[in-house]
Amino acid sequence: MIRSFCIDLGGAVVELRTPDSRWSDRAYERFGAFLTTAPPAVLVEHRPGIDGPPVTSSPSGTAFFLHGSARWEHLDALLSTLVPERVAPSLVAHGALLADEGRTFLCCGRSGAGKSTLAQLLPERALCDELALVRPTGDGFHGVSLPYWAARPGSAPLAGVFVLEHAPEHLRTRIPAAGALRELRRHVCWPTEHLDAMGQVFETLTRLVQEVPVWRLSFARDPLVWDLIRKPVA
Amino acid sequence: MRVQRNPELAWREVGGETILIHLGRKMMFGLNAAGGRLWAALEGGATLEELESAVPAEVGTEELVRATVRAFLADLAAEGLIVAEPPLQHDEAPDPGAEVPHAPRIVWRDEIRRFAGACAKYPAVSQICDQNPFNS
Repeated sequence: MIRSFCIDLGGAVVELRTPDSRWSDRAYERFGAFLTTAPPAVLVEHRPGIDGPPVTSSPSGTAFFLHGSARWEHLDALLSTLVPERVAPSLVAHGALLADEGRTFLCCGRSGAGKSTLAQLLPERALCDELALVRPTGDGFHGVSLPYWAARPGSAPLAGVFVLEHAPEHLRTRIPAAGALRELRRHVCWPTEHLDAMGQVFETLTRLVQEVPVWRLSFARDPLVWDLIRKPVA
Repeated sequence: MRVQRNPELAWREVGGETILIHLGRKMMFGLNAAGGRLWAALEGGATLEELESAVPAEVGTEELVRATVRAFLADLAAEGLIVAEPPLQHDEAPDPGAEVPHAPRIVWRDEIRRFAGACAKYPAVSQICDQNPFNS
């Protein structure tokens, strides 16, 4: 029996289809919080009985096939690659997204910089701890959670961006716009195969650093860091 | 000589710095303030003389201005950011900028790398992130 459901990845609706109940159960467990009834723009079909490369796509680029050699990791990697290609204008950041009442805060960093640590320190506030979408709106930006890794759906106006680093004490330091752009370009998913999409990410990033305050956040393992994150701009 | 921006670029002025992205080469560049003024003067194309007139007087003598502009243009051309007709050779324009604090310069350049978060966790399947899975 073919099992199928649709998930919303920051506005990119993807239908997942598989005949394998173990894959289906695992996918449901992984992405179940992001289910949607909206019509899909992209199909990802698991075809475990077919030999071939792990991942192929249809000529139109709207369907992707995971063959017998594909592992679960291929699905996760494919979906996380697909989002920055398909949701425009926006950008996908390598960051945890935290939420206050009606506001979100994007906390970026390389692996080991503290994204998951921060999300674990602030479980009530964390929407996701690895990848988040930043979407321009008429008067600013929205932070939107994506299902990586510990995640729940959520979206709200983006009030601040933080570049994380571990430290013995909490410290928040404002990064000027040009420096912020140079810093954040390392934490953005660049869809390098699509020049138009890359240009849109550049436009979004340059707007972001000029309209939303960007800070370097040094923090210790202490939930009081939340006070510093949500502290208004002086 | 007439100089034009490469149309494969996007650029923005951010916080007093001019940031360029070369979409084809997947490179990003930052220009200092003097470089940004010259970049702005390239709107619609410009001659060497027009560009020299955009250099601040602090740079120094007319000869020094000419040398700094040619060195800057040679840097831009070497990075594929401009097209000069006739072409400008880098070795024709020794860079005097180190001794000229207000000279136009590329102050940083960085490669843009494809990145997708799941691939950082799953190095065994990194081909999905390193290559384009959409045309396979």
